[in-house]
Amino acid sequence: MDWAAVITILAGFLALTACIALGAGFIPAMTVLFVVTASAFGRRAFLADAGIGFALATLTYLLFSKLLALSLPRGPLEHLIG
Amino acid sequence: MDSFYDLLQGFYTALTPAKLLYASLGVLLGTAVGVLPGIGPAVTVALLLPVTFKLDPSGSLIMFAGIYYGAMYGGSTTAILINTPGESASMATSLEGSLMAKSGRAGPALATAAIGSFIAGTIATAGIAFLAPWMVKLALMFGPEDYFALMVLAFITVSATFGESPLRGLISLFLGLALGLMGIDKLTGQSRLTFGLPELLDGVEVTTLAVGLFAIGEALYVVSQHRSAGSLVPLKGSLWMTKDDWKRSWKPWLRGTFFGFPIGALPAGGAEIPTFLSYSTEKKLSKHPEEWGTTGAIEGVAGPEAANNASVAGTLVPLLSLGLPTSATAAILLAAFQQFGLNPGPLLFAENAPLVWTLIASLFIANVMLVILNLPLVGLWVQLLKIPTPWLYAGILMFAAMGSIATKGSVAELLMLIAFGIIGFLMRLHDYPVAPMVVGLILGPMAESQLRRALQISVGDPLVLVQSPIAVVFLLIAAVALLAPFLISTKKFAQNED
Repeated sequence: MDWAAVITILAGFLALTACIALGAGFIPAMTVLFVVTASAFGRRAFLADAGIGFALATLTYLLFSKLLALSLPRGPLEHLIG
Repeated sequence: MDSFYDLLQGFYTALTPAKLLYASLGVLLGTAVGVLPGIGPAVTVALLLPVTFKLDPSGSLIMFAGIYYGAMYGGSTTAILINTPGESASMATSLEGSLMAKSGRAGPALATAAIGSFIAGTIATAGIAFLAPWMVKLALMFGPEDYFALMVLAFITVSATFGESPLRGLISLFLGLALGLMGIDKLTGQSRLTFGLPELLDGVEVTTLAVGLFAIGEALYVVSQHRSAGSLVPLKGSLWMTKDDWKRSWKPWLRGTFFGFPIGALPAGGAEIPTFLSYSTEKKLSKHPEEWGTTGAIEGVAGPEAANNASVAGTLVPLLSLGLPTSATAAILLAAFQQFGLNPGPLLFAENAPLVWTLIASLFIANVMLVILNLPLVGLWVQLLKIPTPWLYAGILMFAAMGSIATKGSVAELLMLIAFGIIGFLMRLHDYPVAPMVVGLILGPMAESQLRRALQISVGDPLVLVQSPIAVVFLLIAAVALLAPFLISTKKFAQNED
């Protein structure tokens, strides 16, 4: 029973919530969640994971906000890509 | 023959290029998400609900039909290739399916699952088209007290009758019922169980609960146990079924369908029973007993897979004609309807019949799409299973959070999602079923409003609940269904597994 890993994932979710609450926007929030979750599963290549998470989050954002016209939380970064 | 013309009209609406595109997109998305280990059809549908937000009702329902069937097929792919069934209904499939995959016959196993699902789905959808209007006629005779009794019956069968432990199922159900009380009372405008927090006035979203309990709970469970997602059996050998495979598959397909559909269509819920019934029947009838439990028998994949699909399609009968969800997936589908202000039930058939028939027609279309798209694409889905576990779950959690953010986007919603994730994890850890909780959340308020309507008509006399013969019959069946698991051991099914 690995409680540390469980708590890490929950911390990742809280960090995501904080990002949204503080107006950091969708993409940074999702990137944080991705990196923290991957680390809970034993990944240690944080930079590489951050890159993957960022790419995935940006792709998701573009897909859902542009193509499907859903309103997702926007921070500085999201305003930049329009 | 009225319903035949209605169905043709439904096909007419569903067979436009745009709608066909939605259907194929739904099948692809549904399979892609459903194939991920630990993600069953209910979560797949919940996760993909935001995708359909901006479509018109008919387009969205058509896409849903695709997502629904895609998710089911994705689940059986996972069950066969890595022996981790996403939900209890694909357990029977994974028994023989994973053995077939290990002995190099993954291709035929996947093919018989896909074609079996197609045949079962087609027959069962035809069953819906014939049975649902008839059920609607029956439902029009129901008073509120009869509806309430029917819902009590559904509560019992979903939680107590078919699970491992009736008590745990009931506890889970009542947690869901309690959550269902939260928010503004529709009749009096009073806020209930909101603890003075304005964020809770809207109540709990079914999708938030389902994604939290299933997806996040599962991720927390996997990480806590240090399990990897299971080892993938490489696809080798022919992908196609031989003549002998066909000969051995067609009867199990049909038998599975006839186990699955009636059990699914009864407001009883649970695809486990028909899948294991089919499994043990095929095992008894098999001419190749030496393959069972060793190299894997194709009948053991064909039968349960057909039974699973037929029973899931069967649950659409009570959902569409009575508005009664009897599985977690049906509960989410009901939430999808409600998102458009549509309430499934006899009234929907009366007021918006074209939409219902479009949905039924799209189920047929989605089924065809599934076979056309997924047989050739199976190599692609296998690639998805090769994603390393950390990235896989990080991605799943991203989409889980995405759903909540897109629905409401409020911090309160995200905090609720986290809380449900923790609850789901603890329930999983201590062997509590989570599906009754999801059904309780959505069916609870419906049962409450029927109960109050009945009591209003009788001016508060509770005897009205047992004065209608229909209600009495339902309540008696419910009593039997509650007591049955204590009298008959359900372990019989478990013993048949090997």
